[in-house]
Amino acid sequence: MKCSDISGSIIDYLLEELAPELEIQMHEHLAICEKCRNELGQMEAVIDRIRFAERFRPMSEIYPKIVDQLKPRRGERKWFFGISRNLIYALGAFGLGILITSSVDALLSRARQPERFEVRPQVPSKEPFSDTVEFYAVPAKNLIRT
Amino acid sequence: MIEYSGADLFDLYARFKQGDDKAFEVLYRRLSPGIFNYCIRLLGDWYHAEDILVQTFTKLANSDLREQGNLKAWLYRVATNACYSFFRKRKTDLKCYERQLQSVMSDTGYDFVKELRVRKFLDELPEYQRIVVILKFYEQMTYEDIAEVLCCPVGTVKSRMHNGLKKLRTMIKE
Repeated sequence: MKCSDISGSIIDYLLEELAPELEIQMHEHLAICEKCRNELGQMEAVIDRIRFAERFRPMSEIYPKIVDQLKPRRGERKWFFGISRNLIYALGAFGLGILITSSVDALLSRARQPERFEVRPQVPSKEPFSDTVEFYAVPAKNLIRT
Repeated sequence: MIEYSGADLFDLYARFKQGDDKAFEVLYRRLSPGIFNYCIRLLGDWYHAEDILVQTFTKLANSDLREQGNLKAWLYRVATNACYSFFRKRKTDLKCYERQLQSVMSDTGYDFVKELRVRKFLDELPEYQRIVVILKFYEQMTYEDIAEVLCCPVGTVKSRMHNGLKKLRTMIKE
C-alpha cells in the first residue's frame, strides 16, 4: 500500500468501515510510515472535535403544531352526493372568476366613449341627367372578322 | 442512538395511512430528534430548524409513498431541500445562534464553548460538504444512506467528506 492510497482511506479506517483485508494492509503501512501516522492522528483529532457534540431538543413541543396542520386534511368530508369539497371550491372559484370578468367587462364597455360616425349628406350631382340611351352607330366594316 | 430498521419505519407509515394516528406519533418520536439536530447543525438557527421539522413531517403525512423505500433517507432529503431554500435566502447569523444557545443551555449541562466552536467550523464549510459531515458524524448514517439523501453516487459522498475533513483540519490547525 502506498501513501497516496492511505490518504483516501484514512476516514474509513477511523470509522472502522474498511474491508478487513484493507484494514490489515493499512495497519502494516502505518507501522512503517510516520507521515501517514501523523496524518491519521490529525484526522482523528478533527473527528473527535466535531463528533461528540450535543444533541438538542426543540424549545417547544412541535408535534401539536404538525397535528394542527394535518387537521383540515384529516377532517375532510364529502359533500353533495360524493363530490369532494375541493371540487366544489374549484367550481365556485371558477364561477366567481367568470362573474367578476364579465362585470368588469360590462363596466369598461359602458365607460368607453361611443365611436363617432360622420354622416355626409349626399349632394345631388350636377351633371346633366338623361333617360335616353345613346347608341353608337358602328360602321359595318368594323364588325367583320378578319 | 437507537436505530430502527427501514421496514419497521415504513410499516408505521403504512399504518398511519390506514388511519392510525398513533403510528404517526411513534414515527415522529423516533425520527424527529435526528432531523431536528441535523437542521440545527446545518442552519445554525433554532427557530428555522423547528419550522423545517414541522414542514418535513407535514409533507410526510400528506405524501403518498407506495414503494417500501428508505423512509429515513426520504425525510432527510425533504429536510435538506427545505434547508437549501433557507440557504438561498440568508446566511447563518452566529450572534443570533449564540443567543439562542444561551437561552437553551442555561438550565442544562451543555458545553457552550465547544458547541460554538463546532458551529464556527461547520459554517466555514460549503453546504454540500457540511451536509455530508453532519449526516456522517452526527446522524451516523452510512455512505449509501447519505448518497440516497443527496441523490448522488457514493463516490461523490466520500470525496465531499474527505475534502470537508481536510478543510476542517486546516481550520483547527489555524
